[in-house]
Amino acid sequence: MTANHQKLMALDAVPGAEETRGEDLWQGAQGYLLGLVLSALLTALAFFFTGSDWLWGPSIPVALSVLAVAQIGVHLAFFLHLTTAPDSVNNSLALAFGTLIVALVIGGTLWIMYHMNLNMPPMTQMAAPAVTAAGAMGSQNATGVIEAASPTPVAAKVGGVVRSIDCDVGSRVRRGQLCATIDAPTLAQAVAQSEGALRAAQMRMAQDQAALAAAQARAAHRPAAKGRVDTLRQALSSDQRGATAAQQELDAAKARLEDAKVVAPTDGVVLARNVEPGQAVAANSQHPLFLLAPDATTVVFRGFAPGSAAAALKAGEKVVFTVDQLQGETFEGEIIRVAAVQGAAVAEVVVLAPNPRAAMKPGMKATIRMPASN
Amino acid sequence: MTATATVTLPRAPGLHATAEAPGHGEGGPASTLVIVAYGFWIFLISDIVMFSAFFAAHAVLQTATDGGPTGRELFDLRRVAIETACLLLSSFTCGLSALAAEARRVTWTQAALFVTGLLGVAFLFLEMHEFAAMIAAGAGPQRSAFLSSFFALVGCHGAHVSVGLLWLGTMMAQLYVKGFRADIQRRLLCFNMFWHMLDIVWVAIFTLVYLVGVAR
Repeated sequence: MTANHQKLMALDAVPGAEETRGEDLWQGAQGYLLGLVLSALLTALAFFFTGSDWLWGPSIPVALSVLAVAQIGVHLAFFLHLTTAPDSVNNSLALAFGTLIVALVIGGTLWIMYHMNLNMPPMTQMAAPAVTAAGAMGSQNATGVIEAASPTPVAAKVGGVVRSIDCDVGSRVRRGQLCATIDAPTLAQAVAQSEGALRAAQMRMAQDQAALAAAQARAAHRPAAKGRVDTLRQALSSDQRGATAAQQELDAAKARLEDAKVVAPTDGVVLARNVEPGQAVAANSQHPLFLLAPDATTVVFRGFAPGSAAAALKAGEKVVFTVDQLQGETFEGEIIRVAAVQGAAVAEVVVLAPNPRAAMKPGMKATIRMPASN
Repeated sequence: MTATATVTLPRAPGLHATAEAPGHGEGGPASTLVIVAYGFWIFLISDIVMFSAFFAAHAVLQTATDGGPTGRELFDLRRVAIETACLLLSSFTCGLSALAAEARRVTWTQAALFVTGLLGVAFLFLEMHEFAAMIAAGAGPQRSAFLSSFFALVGCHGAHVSVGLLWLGTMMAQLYVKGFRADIQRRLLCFNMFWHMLDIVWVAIFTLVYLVGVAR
């Protein structure tokens, strides 16, 4: 063993107890100073590129990453004194291994998540399978969440020519307020016809009643007339059935005529009007007559119902639902949309509900309980 | 084999001066300084691997703002620039403290450590202030996945700085009481490496979280 070797081993015996080398102090400080200046330069460049349009926009993140890697290199070289010299080979190897793991973790995550995002179905379809599964297990309830109400389209329920417009852009409307009336001659005709049929049935009933009274008076003296009384009694009960049916027909026709009135489904402000008086509109068209911005006191239930139960839900109907966080309370709203979700045996259900006490908050889970079907 | 030419010395990582143990198994086991420093070096690298998981989560969730505030709306780059300057300068003064410790100059070592600590406290104060302002504005970690990952990543770095400051105070006290003993020297070296590593992580944070967050 040479003397040089001996000297080194002597150093090995006293760790950290290096001889002070006063003249090296300034040299060492120079190294740190150089590192500081280089780092500051790279940092300044990075901040400069962020706030300027010197670089093509999409390339800025790449440029920033390059500057960051450069600065990390400066830190390693000037602050941590990592070198490529043989005496530092273990340190460099450990760092290289760490860098490999970091690259695998970050690169792998980005790669996987990028492809997962590409293959992810839209939100509506994502929630659908869960409801399908719930439906397969016998649950017939529509489940969903409460959302802040967004502008709601108001469509005509029957087709026809718009006779009058009662709401315009900017007008404040209350729930149920008349916004437009649609001229539906066939519906009005149906009402008139039903009215005529009812009147005829009532008239027949009155005639038969009078005839029956006369026949009964005669039958009191002549027992042979009893057969006539029985015949008239039967005719009268048949008249009554006819009158009841005519009344029901009339009610239905009137309800259909009522649908010719377009009313606001909720309190709010009319945002847009897409219709002029005299214009022909189709029933439940994709082009709504009005766009209504609901008041803050209105919320939307958006959820999914199993296909079998969705058949019982129709736009425009009232529905009662419960909110998970508000036990013991029920809320009523109006269905504004029922739409089958493509590729799943479920339908999206949207309900507009007044929320005057602001009890329902966006994000709460809610359920529409369906009457159990067989 | 001519000894002078071929003998290479394993160098303690982070140590400025050359070392004390002949490598390649010659001359027996490496010195305690080399072993301690190398072990700590491995710890730091594994700590960075842990940070990489937070970075990966943040990179993936950077756009998942759930309709809430984005980085562009939230980040104040002037504050970030000051934070960066604080940490970079503190890394520099920390290096100076290592030089002074090597030269066994107690006063200079303590002074450099003290300035390092002051800059670290300034950094931490600015960061706390930023967090408090964001939470007060409704942009807390619950607001969106983006903000969850932001607070997790930047908060984790802030926690490291806090621990580093505690360590720094402890080292100043130990140096005052015990002087330049071999074990104190080793601890100072480890602290130096830890503090430089924090600055390296911050370089990645201010670039990938703040600057890219604002530029995108």
